[in-house]
Amino acid sequence: MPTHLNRALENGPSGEKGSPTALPPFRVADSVPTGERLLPMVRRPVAATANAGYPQQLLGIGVPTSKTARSTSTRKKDKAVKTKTKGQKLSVYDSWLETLVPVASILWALVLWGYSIATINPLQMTDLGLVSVLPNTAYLAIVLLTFSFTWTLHQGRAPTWLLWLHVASFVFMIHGAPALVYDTLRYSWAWKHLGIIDYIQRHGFVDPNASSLMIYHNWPGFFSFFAYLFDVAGIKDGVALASWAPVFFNLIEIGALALIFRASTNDRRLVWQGIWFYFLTNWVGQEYFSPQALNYFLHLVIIGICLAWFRTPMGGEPERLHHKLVQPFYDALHHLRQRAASTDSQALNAPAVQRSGLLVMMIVLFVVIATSHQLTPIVTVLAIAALVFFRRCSASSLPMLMAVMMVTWIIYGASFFVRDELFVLFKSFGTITSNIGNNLLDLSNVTLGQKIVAYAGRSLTMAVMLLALAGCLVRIRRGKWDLSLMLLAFAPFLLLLGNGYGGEVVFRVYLFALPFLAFFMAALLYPTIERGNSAWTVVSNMVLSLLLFAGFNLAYYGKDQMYFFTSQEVEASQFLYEHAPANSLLIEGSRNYPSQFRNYENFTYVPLSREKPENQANWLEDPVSVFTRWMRNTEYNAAFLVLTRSQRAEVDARLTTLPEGALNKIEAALRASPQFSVVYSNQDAVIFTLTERLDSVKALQTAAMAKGG
Amino acid sequence: MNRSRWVPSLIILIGIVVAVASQADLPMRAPLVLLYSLVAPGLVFVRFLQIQDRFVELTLAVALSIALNVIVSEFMIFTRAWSPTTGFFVLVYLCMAAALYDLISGSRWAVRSYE
Repeated sequence: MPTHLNRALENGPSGEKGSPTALPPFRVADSVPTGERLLPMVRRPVAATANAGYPQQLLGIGVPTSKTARSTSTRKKDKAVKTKTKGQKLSVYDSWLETLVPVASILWALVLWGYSIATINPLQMTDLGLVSVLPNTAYLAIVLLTFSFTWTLHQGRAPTWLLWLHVASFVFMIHGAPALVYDTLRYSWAWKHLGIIDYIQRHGFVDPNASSLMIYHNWPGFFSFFAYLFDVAGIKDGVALASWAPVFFNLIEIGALALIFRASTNDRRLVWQGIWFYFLTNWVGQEYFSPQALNYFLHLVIIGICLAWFRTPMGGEPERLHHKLVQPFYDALHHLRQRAASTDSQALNAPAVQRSGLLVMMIVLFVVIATSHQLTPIVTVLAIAALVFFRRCSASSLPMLMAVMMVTWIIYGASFFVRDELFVLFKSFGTITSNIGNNLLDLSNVTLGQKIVAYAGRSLTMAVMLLALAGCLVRIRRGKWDLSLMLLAFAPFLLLLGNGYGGEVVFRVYLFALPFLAFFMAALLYPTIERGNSAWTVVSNMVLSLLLFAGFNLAYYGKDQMYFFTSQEVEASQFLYEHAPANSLLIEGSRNYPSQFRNYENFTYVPLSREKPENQANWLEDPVSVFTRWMRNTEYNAAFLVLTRSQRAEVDARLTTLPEGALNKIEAALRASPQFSVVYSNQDAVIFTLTERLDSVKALQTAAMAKGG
Repeated sequence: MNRSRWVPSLIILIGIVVAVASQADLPMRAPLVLLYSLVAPGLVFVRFLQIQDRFVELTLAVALSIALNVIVSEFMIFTRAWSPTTGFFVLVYLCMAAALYDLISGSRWAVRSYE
């Protein structure tokens, strides 16, 4: 190796140590208006580039300056961009005015937002959720931020950190608002997740055969991680940290999305517009303190690595299969692959050691996914398999390896859950209509507010699908096939063949397809690097962003009357879970309250909202005698019935099978009956027990306290 | 000091501070431990991959850090040897060892791969 080259390499990938002149001549992504490198690559000298003929300038990595190594079309693009940016020196990019104005806009938007949410009283929410109490200044903040983002992006000169700051501010405003407004953790499932963490902290292991929340014990990665982290960091109460989880997960997702998009286009406007649209349309709310949020991020990183470092170059002739029936299909497939691949991003020449390291990293990430979540590994395998099948990923054995790891975990690690659920899994396999239908709310019963919220979510989803389809067609028309992204957008839909996933599969399909749909939506505004330069793009972007936000605002915040819990509800739950003896029966109005976050295994749960409708009539007619009979059961050491504000909100919005006002009726009947005593009560929650068991409950509590103390 | 030296130096230094903080009830304990756990274990290994883009390098570092922490915690629950402090110190020592190697060897590890 030449001496100057060796010296340059010793100075590290960026050549920080030595003089730039020590490096061989590089030319970095001329076709990018900002001159920014788009892909995370080792800067490689000409001599070390294996396939110098590849159009790597599209990828933003160091390429030879030799004209012979560049295609004619690329030279034309370079010329166009140079003409466009003629007269604009690099110093203009960094001028304080171009930076200061967007930064000031962001700060002003944050101040406006902060002022707005400080005035919100969440108790005044209607069945439209947080939207019903958001003041106008909050919308003004969103408009200001959106305008700043669209204008800054349109200029095409903003540094990456400034674009990141816009998106991060949006994430902070939207996902940080509940943490600031509500004081307590939003969404009842987040509380249940804290309960599993509490279990691990107390026992030091999981119970795969647990009677309640068994699924989490069979895929415990997320819970063991946070139990470990809370213990090491000395965090006694994880509620505050869990409240900010949506902000954290969304912020780290920005990096993963940028990795995916930057591997797919050299137009940074398209990259950041795609990221912006992703956060404007991600209304399904899976970024809360949950295994899904963590594993989704890891899934995106794996996809990003595959797209950035493991792309396959165009293949040669199709293989001859010597089978009359199969060969025509195979030839057609090959033709499609070649046609798409000719316009898709091309293979990289990353050093073998880097690719090996990244391959190991993907396997490590997948080990975590396979042991932490049920659905994500399936999507990851489907996505990578689709890329490999269409020859868009060179790690051809990766899907098989991942599938083996996933199945191994299901058979050995999650055997208890699979044994119990196998029949249900097989029964629902292939029943697409039922899998979709079970996920959608029956709107004939719900309140008007909830109807609007449901329609907002559905309309937003349909709009995203249609806009993405239009964007995809526009890209194809312009000669950009983006086959990899099309495959990744389509792969999650195969989940619909599986099962309903507890009534959520449609939302998860949307979530997993969304990054790629958002990219295609952005392609409507910036289809190619030469287009999207007019002022109309800014106007269209503003209008589209605000329309999408209108739908997102309703769909995302629309159920917050139920998802929000008051501190009184939390106090009541804390009292119950900390003082109730082990092996207690707990009758709940519904599952929607801060539940199961402490000593959760001490209870057998009976949520009234999940009782069969035909049984509901019995205990609604005469709750005192029916609940007395249930709670007298001596199999349990104690029995409690808990009713809270958030349970009532869910039932009264007619989101359960219980009739409106059912819980109020039950509470009134029990309060009036001498057979029931109130063991705890505040303005938002009440806990009953049988009067005849009151003494035994007290005795058990005293014994438990004596034992503990 | 160029980046190839200050990053591993910082990881070693913060590792020592975090190790001490995790044993004491200091007010900065939680943010220090969280930040270190979510960035350092991944960063020391991702640095060996010579990723040029810092934004992407940080994203990969966070992903790998999370993964390593999850694997350590899962190992402890499946072997029924729950000891978060031990697990944490294993990761801190691992980070320090990798950072020390990085510091001593500089970028020669990657250079060798080209030759």
